[in-house]
Amino acid sequence: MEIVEADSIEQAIELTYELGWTDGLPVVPPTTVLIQKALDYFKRDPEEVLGVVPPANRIATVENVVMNCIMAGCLPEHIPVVFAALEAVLTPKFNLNGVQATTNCVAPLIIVSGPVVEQLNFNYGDNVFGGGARANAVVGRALRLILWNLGGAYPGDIDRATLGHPGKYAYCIAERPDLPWEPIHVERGFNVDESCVTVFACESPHHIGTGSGYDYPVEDVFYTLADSMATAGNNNMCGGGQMLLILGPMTAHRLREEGYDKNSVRRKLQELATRPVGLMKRSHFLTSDHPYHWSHNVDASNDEARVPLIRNIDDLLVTVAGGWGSGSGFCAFCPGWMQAGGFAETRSIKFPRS
Amino acid sequence: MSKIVMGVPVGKPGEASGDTIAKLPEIRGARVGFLSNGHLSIVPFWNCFEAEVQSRWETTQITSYTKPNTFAPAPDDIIKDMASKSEIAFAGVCA
Repeated sequence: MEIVEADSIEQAIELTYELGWTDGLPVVPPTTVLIQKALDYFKRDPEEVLGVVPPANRIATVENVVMNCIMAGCLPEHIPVVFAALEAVLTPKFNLNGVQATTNCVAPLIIVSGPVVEQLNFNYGDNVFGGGARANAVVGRALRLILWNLGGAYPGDIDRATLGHPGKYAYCIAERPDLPWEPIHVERGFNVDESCVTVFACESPHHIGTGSGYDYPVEDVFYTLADSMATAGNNNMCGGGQMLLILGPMTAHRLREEGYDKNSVRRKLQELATRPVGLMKRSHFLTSDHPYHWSHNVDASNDEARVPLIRNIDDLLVTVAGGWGSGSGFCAFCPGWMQAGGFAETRSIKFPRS
Repeated sequence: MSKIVMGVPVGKPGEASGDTIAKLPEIRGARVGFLSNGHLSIVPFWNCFEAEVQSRWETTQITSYTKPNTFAPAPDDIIKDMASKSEIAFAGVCA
């Protein structure tokens, strides 16, 4: 193991900045004592290669991933969640190289689901995208530091994101265990009693107040969701691909009570989330000859024709998170990165055998 | 006071895999491949660049490629095809 030494904790913290190990937030110095404690927990070969992290293509080993987890504030038991998230983002389909380098403003979101949510106290309720829970913060932060120190995605260098993304500090939520439908990992082929992470590169959450808790027709909830999702400049409206709808529990349970399951929610929103050709012709994010361009899916000569946000029903990822709140029925929408990459990947979390 | 000893969390570079195109000291007369991401911002420049290379160095054969996914690395079949037909390659992206 390559090491550096400091004379004091103050000097150690400053050294992490000087050596470029952090993106601006302070980190826990990855001392050899903490590293050894985590490695003892895993009983894995520290030199075991977990992959190569683009765009810098540095080698991720158990040992250096553990170091980044320690810097993020992880306890040993948080680290298997990070391993699973790293495995997911390293799948070629995810196109991490592009996600890290694009001028677009997406970041990998980690959605934790299954028994681990309560076992490790992940926050799935109030303020789910904000601070307040160590597990969310340190797991999201650890993946970010890995993408920084192993992926080398430095802003202004290879990370060309025009506006960036607040989730590039930490972007991790948990799915509610009391959701009215099957968990996201079950939809994606895993067992209900498995603990999983689903990673998906997406924009920041766009807030939607649906009023689902009040006594109005459920159709109004759908119209509000659809109108808020299908905006002329968002990635998916222009270029298709996956997107994520985070239903607050009040809205999710209301829809369930009205007889909707996840797929019927998807179909309803596919029908309603559209914009007229005449409007989309004014959106020049992609040129009309681009293979992702919206005009390939509609009669572009008819200004009244409707351009669909959701080109394929499976493109709409649905999860349930956040607090119950008031009757306002708050939800959120995270557009993805068109058909360019960052596609949802789910992995089982493997804890060491005790 | 004892020292604080920290591990270095920055990984070592992975080795490049696969065949690479041989580097030639001279472009003149060479077979040249061009690979771009086809983004709107690069097309006008890239067309001029190809023409300039061809006229200035009298390249014998130019093969042009556009990545099928603007935003992802070129697939292996394109790289292999370019390697088989080119002695020098230019790759350019814009966004």
